[in-house]
Amino acid sequence: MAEPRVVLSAANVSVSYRIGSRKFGSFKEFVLSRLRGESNDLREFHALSDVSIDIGAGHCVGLIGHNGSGKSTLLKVLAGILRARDGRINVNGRMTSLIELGVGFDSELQARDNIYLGCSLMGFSRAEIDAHFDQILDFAQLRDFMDFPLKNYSSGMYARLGFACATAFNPDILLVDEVLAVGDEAFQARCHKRINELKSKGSGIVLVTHDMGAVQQFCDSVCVLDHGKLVYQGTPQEGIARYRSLIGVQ
Amino acid sequence: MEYVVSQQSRGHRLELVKLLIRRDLKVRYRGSFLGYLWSMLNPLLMMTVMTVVFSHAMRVDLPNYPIYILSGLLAWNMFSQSINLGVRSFVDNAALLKKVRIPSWIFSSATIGSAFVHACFAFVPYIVIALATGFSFSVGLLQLPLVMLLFYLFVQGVVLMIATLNVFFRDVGHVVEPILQIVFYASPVLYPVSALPEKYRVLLDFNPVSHYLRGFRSALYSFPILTVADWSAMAAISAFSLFLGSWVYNRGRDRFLYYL
Repeated sequence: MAEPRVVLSAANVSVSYRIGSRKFGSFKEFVLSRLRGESNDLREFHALSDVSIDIGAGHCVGLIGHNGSGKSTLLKVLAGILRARDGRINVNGRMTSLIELGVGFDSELQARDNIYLGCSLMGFSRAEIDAHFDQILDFAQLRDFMDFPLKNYSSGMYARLGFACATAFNPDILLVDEVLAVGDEAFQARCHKRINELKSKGSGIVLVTHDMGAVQQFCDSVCVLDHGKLVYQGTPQEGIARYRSLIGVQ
Repeated sequence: MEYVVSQQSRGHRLELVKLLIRRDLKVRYRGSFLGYLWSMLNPLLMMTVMTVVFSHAMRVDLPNYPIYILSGLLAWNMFSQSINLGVRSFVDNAALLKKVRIPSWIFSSATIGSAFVHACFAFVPYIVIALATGFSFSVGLLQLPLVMLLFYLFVQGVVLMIATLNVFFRDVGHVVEPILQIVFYASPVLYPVSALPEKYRVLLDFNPVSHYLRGFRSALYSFPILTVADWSAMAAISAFSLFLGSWVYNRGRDRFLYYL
């Protein structure tokens, strides 16, 4: 089998925060501590160290690891939200990130305005949203409720609209953070179908999750993170075993 | 680090700013009975009070004083609302900035845009009062778009700077209000420049807002047509403000996420 085209690659990515022993909430504290000559001894915290991954077209890569292992940080760096200290990231194509469903929705507005607002925040143009508008409404099954302000929606309806917006555009790359378990079973089944559809159309997918069932269901390969380091990259079976031994669960 | 994107879609940012402005305007008067009318009634009310106070108590004697006040308030409201809301534009949108890849300046522009649109509602009472008092519009009105553009650039620079600083030191948000008060009374919004003693008038030149006020008054009140010197002053202040604002913003933007 030929190697698929790489749609997203990260090379030697490192993220570190400097955590001061004190935090300056205000200018007063900042000046006072300087006047007193107190040193704000900074501790370097390595959220990610030297991580490299490639995501091929039509491939789904699972990111797993314990809480605080750096999964979400890596996803944010891939999405271009967080700036890494070192490394290089190449994005070949349109990318959508699903770090939270319904980002940018305004609860006072109706579904229509929110679709335009949410999709526009994800970087899609008016013309593109026009073209996918009906598809989004139908997928979310909210046509009957499109004139209601979002504050009257149930949380499931809200999530459905968010998922529909993010996956409508056949992105080349889709980044997903733990949001697949939304809505009722029927909607979940349609979400799963949609993810598989995107995969078969050639979208490269990165899935951050604690749900090993989802990993087995969708992922072609798995990356295991441990304290910011990539400790395993390979098949889902072995990755899951590795992850479980790391967190001490059999 | 390097972040390389092969297919960049930058063209939609203006559309996004427009959508954000529309959202602001739609949400603003939800649940209020008079809705947008408030944006027109407020300057009218202010004008009435100020006309009574200044022309009777302070003996200001200007022709068409209500128009003088309305034109000043129009510009001032653009400025004060932009600053008041703009200073928080990054902090208020922290939830979004943490979850979508979007340049943060967009939120500052949208906030200023919506403050400007909002202040423009005051054109309605302006026109009504102008017609009622028999004020004759001059060709100076044609200067208005360019004056407003330069004013916008000036405000954008200021907001970029204070909104960035506010991310690192939340004090900035608190100090803005008293400073606005001082600038309000230090600017000829309600009183004519001639009401100031001769020796203080020179100081007005150091107040950037006063230069734009002259521009607005030249367009909306019977001030003389702007000279090359007037235009240069406005252009220079706008350019400087935008330069300083962008510089501060560019230095801070990559660290926002750690402070928001």
